[in-house]
Amino acid sequence: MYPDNSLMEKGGRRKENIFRRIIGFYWTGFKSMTVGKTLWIIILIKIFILFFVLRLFFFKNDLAPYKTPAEKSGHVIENLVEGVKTE
Amino acid sequence: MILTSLVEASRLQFALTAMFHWIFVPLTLGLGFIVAFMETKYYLSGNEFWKKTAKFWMRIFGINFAVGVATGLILEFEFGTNWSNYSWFVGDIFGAPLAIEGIFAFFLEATFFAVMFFGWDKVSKRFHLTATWLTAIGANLSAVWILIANSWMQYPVGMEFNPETARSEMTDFWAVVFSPMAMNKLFHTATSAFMLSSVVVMGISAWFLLKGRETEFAKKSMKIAAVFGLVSTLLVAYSGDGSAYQVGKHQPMKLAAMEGLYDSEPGTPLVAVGILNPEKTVYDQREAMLFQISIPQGLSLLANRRLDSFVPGINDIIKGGYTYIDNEGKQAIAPSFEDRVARGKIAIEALADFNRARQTGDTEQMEQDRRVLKENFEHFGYGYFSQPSDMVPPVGLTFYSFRIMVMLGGYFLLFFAAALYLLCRDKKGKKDFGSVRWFLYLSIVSIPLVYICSQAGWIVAEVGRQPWTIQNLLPVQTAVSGVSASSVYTTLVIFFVLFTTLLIAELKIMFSQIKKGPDGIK
Repeated sequence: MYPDNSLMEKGGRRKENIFRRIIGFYWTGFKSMTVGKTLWIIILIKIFILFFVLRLFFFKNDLAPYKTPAEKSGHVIENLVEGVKTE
Repeated sequence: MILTSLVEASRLQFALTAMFHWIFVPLTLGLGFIVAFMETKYYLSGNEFWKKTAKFWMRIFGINFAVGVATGLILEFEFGTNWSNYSWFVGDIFGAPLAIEGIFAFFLEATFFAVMFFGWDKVSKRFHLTATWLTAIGANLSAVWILIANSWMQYPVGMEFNPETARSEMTDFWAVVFSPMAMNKLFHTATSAFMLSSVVVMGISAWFLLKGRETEFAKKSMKIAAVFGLVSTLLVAYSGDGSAYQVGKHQPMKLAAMEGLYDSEPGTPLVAVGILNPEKTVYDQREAMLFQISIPQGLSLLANRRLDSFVPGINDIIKGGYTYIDNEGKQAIAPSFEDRVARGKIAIEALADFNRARQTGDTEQMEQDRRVLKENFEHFGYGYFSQPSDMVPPVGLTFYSFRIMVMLGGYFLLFFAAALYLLCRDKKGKKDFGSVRWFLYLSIVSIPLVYICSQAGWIVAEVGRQPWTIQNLLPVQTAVSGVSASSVYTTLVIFFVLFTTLLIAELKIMFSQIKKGPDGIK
């Protein structure tokens, strides 16, 4: 059986799938990062604190107790008509 | 009192996040294009010098880009946590531009950002250059959609409020996108970001020249930055004039605050330099200014394009009764504060009645209430006010921020013109640019000044439009989430510590990369 030439590069090496090449491109890029790694660490720590810790311990989602869009809009209308009630 | 405290805390927190975000963003908007110019030079000439130069500035771009993305995410997070009524009320109007920004512009820049950084020697020169240009364009497209959303808040067009859902529904997408307020704002903001980036490139390059390092790199970078900066600053002035005209048409109270103008007359002067009377309040008889140098009829020309026209002051807007051109281009009589409040209360009452009628299934009453609400909706937000001072923004902060922005803008025009003159003399062999040390020091000092100028611009735009989150429709006290003020203050402190730490970390990374110079970039 003959090999499928469309999958071969000039040197006889097998062509990589386009998705593999893209993943490889990013993988090599991220691996070779120096400054970028420090930046990513800073960004991830910050996002974790902001999105997880603060949300969990400090803020309640004001509209979360209301399940349906109608209930949510009812709550907002109440605020618009009677004013915002603070905790 | 508790609500006031909550509103103040929430505003302070949002302002803090937005100001930190705006430290990083403007540099990426302009630096992306500067890098793209440099890489184009490399592509056309094949000269490795330009590749090295582009790579150095690309790294500065990358550091800012990464940190800017993180702070931008937090801003969107705060819409939900601190401003839930507002987020619900703006509905799809705000959602559509932000979604387009997220799906289209952000993914465009994020995709090509990777090629730009990881793709040297892995993709063809042409493809890499395309990726660099697309990253620069994508960063600016992101800003376009955010600014369209912001402009809509200052001049809400192309929408209709649905009392059943309590949401604003978009009736005309193109009216939102191409509103004159949006066009001017995005042109003014983008060009000011280009100006900022040019000053940063000038300042960093000047540091190299003062150190006697990378002379060719520094001079050529400065040349590109000076040309880009001068053109941008001229465009900033042009679009600033357009922005002021739009503010005069749609946000007269903001313009009055920008000028510290209380009681006006036809042929209104423009205050060039002035000191506000800190004792002055609405309706008292004190002089508004302790000292001023004014341009006769300047404000009339700026706001109405006519020297003898009337530009209302704060007290005039409260009193009403003057003629103005409305949004449909017709002459109209301005309503007084009391008229607006009365109509606002009618609109709020109609919303309450509509809601009650809906619960009982009284469709006839619902239609009647819907009609009353629609007739009075343009004054909806005034129904929450009890005294005239409620509709007046902080005058001092708006007035001085406006003057700082304009004066520094004028300074940067001279700065770039001087830089080009000195660089031309250097090219002709008359005087080495690197020996003009006073200008090099001035270039470094100009870096913090350009950031002050840029932040002052946002203070004018956002503080000047207080007390509104959406002009005439939703004041801050109704837009805020019903969370506890202490929670917001606690997170405000945490945010401040975090942001400051992040800024220090970013500056440290940036300085270490600058010190390495273009030869230190692999």
